[in-house]
Amino acid sequence: MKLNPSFKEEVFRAMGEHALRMCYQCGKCSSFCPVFSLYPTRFNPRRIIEMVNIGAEDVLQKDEIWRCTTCYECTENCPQGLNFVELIVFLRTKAYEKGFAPKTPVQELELVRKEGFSVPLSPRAKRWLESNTLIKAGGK
Amino acid sequence: MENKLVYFPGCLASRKFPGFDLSARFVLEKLSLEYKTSEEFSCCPDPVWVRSLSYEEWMERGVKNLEISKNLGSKLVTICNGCFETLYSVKKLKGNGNFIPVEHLLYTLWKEKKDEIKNKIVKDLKGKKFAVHEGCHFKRPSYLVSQEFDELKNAKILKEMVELLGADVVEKGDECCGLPVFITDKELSLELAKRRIESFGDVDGIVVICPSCFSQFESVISLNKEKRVPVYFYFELLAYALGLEKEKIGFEFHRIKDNLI
Repeated sequence: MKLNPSFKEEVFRAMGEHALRMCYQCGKCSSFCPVFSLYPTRFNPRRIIEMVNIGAEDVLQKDEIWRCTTCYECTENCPQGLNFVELIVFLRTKAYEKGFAPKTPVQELELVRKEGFSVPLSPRAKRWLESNTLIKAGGK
Repeated sequence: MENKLVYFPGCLASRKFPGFDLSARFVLEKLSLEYKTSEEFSCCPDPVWVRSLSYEEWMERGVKNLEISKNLGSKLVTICNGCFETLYSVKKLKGNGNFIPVEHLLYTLWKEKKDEIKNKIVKDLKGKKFAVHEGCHFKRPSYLVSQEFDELKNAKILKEMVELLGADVVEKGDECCGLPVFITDKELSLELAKRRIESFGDVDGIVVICPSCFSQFESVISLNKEKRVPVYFYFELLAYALGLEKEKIGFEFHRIKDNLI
């Protein structure tokens, strides 16, 4: 595991140094996490915070950071007020910048960039919408 | 500024499950809630993946949607938890004073229209037993949401709104449906949904207020050939109760078509 103090400083600057330094690894984030409760070896919020706190930049290349559902159970239950979901968002953004993001979320982002929407309009839905007077008439 | 609602249907409800959009509009009309919407609206955007990959683009598009809204009416309402989270969060992060209030339509109706709904029901759902699932991003993160909606935290909003239609309700905590990680770890995602569905026990249907949760539950239930519990979007049931014919609700866009009311 490669440690990089400047990575740690970067996360601290973005997240607010106080919150991350105040983590005393109690593990409440993990104990309330629905993903951890099913697959503790695949996703462990406490371990991710620990990696950031020691400057382990490798965390950006871990599949683990893409398994957070952002349900906020961790954030709601952290005794130190650490917003783990915001941390995950920051780590994913960094990972994407470095080219480590999985293909599927990137495809969704590209669809939004290209079409303005995150899901394509199916021909069946299009026909249904066109024939529907309430939708056509409403909200003008 | 006109005292109208600004209706934001969102991607899934307008492009994948258009019956959700239709049902919500029917409800707005039946309850005499004047609304405007805009073809200029884009994806909210998605608070999970767009925000995770490009925070700046998430913010920019969110601001643009909010800018469009403020010229159309006095309150923005969504029918999707994700749209609510994004638009509400962006409004907060950019300063509340710049934009009109943002609410989930379920909350708006719970707060202002319960009595009127009760008086206007033409077909009730007595004898049905539904499980309710509000979904994570209806009330969380509470550090943002509870500043404005203090009563949200402990209120059983969806439960009360389903009971209003005459049905019995099963409520089992508020665990995540798992949808956000469907595209990064499908097995894990479906296991989360399966556990959530099993926790409801034997019910006539599952009622949700988020198109993402809807899609996720249908994905899991459609894998089971024997027991196929239908999933409903709350506004479909409400539209039905207020008089929309079953054939017009858009049930053909459901994957589970068994025993639909």
